[in-house]
Amino acid sequence: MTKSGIILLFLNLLIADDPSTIFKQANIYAEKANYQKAIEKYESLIDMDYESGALYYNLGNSYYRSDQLGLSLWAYYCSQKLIPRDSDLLHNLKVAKAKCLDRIEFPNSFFPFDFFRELDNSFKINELFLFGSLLILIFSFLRIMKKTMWLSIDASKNLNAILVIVIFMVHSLAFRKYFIDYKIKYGVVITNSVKVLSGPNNSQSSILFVANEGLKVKINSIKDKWIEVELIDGKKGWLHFSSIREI
Amino acid sequence: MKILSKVIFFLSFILCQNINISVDRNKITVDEIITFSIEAKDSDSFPSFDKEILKKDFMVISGPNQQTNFQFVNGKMTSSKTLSWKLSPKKQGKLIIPSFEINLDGKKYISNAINIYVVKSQNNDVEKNIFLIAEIDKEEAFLGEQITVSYKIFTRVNASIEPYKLPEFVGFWVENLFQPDRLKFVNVNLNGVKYQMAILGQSALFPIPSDKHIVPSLKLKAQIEQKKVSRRRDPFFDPFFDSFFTETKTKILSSDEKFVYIKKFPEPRPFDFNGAVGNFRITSYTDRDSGKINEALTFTIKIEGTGNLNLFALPEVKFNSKLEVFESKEKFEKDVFRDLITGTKIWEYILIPRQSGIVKLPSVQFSFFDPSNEEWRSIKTDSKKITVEDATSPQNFNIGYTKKEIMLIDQDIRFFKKDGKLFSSKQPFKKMIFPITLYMFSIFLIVAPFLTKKTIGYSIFISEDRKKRFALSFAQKKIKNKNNYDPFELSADTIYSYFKNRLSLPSKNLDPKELQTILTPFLEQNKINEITEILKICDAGRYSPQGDQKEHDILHEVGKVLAKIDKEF
Repeated sequence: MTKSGIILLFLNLLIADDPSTIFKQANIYAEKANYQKAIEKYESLIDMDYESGALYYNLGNSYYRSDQLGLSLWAYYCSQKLIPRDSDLLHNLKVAKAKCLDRIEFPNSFFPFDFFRELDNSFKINELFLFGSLLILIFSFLRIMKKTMWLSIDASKNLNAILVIVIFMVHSLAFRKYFIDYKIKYGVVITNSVKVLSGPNNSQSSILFVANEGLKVKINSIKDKWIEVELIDGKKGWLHFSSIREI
Repeated sequence: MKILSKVIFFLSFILCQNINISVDRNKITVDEIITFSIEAKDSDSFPSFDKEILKKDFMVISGPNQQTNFQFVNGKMTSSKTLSWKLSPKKQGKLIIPSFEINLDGKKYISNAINIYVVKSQNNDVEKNIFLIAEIDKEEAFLGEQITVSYKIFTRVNASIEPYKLPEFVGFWVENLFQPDRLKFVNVNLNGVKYQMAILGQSALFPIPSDKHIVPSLKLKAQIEQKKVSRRRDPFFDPFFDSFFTETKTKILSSDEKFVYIKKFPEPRPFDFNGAVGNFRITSYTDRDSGKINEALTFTIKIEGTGNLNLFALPEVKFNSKLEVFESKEKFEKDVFRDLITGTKIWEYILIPRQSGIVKLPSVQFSFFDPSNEEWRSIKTDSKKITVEDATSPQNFNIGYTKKEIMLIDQDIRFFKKDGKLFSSKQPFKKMIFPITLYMFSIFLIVAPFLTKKTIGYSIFISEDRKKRFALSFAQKKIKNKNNYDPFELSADTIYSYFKNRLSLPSKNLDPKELQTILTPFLEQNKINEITEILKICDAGRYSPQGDQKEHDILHEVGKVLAKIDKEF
């Protein structure tokens, strides 16, 4: 009895430690609409330094169902970094964004800019680098073929020119994205009617504006428990760190 | 002789082309019209000159009218081109059309000055029978006070009035009150004489700061019927324009100019005076008495009354810092059924309270000058308090949503994802391993030829070497892919490029003799002869129609010979 009990406990521990099992458990909780438990499980996985698009997506859904719009948007934004072209995610992100109180929308701009933004949003950094490296591989193969006369020189000239342009574009996109993702930090406001102050303390600074949950902001600097944020339209102010979560 | 003919040619040129400038008469009355014409004989184009000089003393009624005449007399053609204007004098006295420069076919001519004597209208009958007047309701006014001007026509004769425009009023801001589409005549009695009277136009003038305030005269052209002095019994004399007993005459009618004296405002002026003159009332109101944080409310300021409503701005309103203010919208509604400009001017501010508590909306003060009592008056609205509540829960979902967003709100999110591998987020470079290896490999591929050359001393990638080694296979490939080429041309080309590759020659543009000298150190004489023979056949085949017999075999033979030679090197 005790032996089998110990073995069961041990097995249980083993199983519990396995991240994919935790994920499955969390999914079961979520399906049974026990969102609080599901959130706990998902968050524990994130604390254990695991990530995946589906994990953040499910976490976002759970937060959305438990009426925590800010956190659900935070999870969706995290998921977007990992599965940028997932149609379910894009749909949920749109629906959640529409529920936000503060909505800053881009106006319809000139076609190439829209296209660029779309392109930029729908690829991950490593995908871009993979694409770039493949192109460079093709480029070097072409070079060898030219040298060994397997390819006529006229054809290789055109191919070379096109390749060089595409390689340059892909890499500039990739490095730009790398810079933005790793150097510029974003956060999502997770509580409602947060007062954004003019300085990093409560007593001496005045209220600049009020932010509501779900607003995506750029994090400029951190001082003690205060975070300086910047909105898309250029407004700046300080928030307490408890009302924001970094993406 | 030649010189003489040239001189004659020139003389004829100068003599033939001349310009005639004329007016139809030079003694007229103020209400008459003269015709000013420039006639150029035997010219290619119409004369041109600066038309502004005509406008100094005259009003251009019509023109320029263009007219071209051709005449054939005894087989010789003469032509003339004429420009003409109808002019009406602007004043009495001696008027001068000064001498001016005329351009004609690239040449310049100077005209003589023309004097025109304008006397007072002698025909007093006409003046008594039809005339214009300009009526202003006051001759002295304050800046911004309304003056109403009405132009009227009085007539006792039948007259038709041609389309006219009201003059431009300098020194006034003008609101058009009335301009008829068709003149409506009413009977009036003026000093015991019966007249038909019609209003030509009515404008409200508001003086603005300026040097002069003159209500200009209105000028119009009228066709007036007059009794014929001599009754001609000839009905065919002028059947179009004149009836049997009357004739029509074109006259220019004009009203007198009126001067307006601008009175000075009594001092001291109120500090917030910004040009409003008239009689006004001011009110302000909000659309609600209480609101919530971030909920917009509308604050409206309304000024109604009579006066220069469009000529002043509202003094700046200072709002509480708790409110975010969006710029005001301005609306003006004119009350059309009055001679005095009357209406309502509305300013709408959108206010968004950003903090809770009691917010005081300011009282708006406004000063104006009342011209009827000649005194300054200051009016203001009451200040107002609005209670702003905290918005704790996100409410009012349907404020500010676009159609697309409302459609999204109705939708639900999609369901959970069950599958999905988990990755450790600790090593971001793990994902990059594949790209990095690809980069390394491609760099290796690019660098490899140089490395092999440095280490082994022989490079497989250097094309000259490859060209030498694969010269024969290239040639055979070329023969195989013969497509639609002329076989002779192709075989010659194959041979030349083979030797070019094999011997690393700079060019494949060779001829059989050149090739022979190049090949002597490498090959036996009989092989060289064999090749030159083929080349000669090719040349012959290329340039003569009889080369058909060998056409089929030649490519085959080239392949065979080249294969044989390749072993010799």
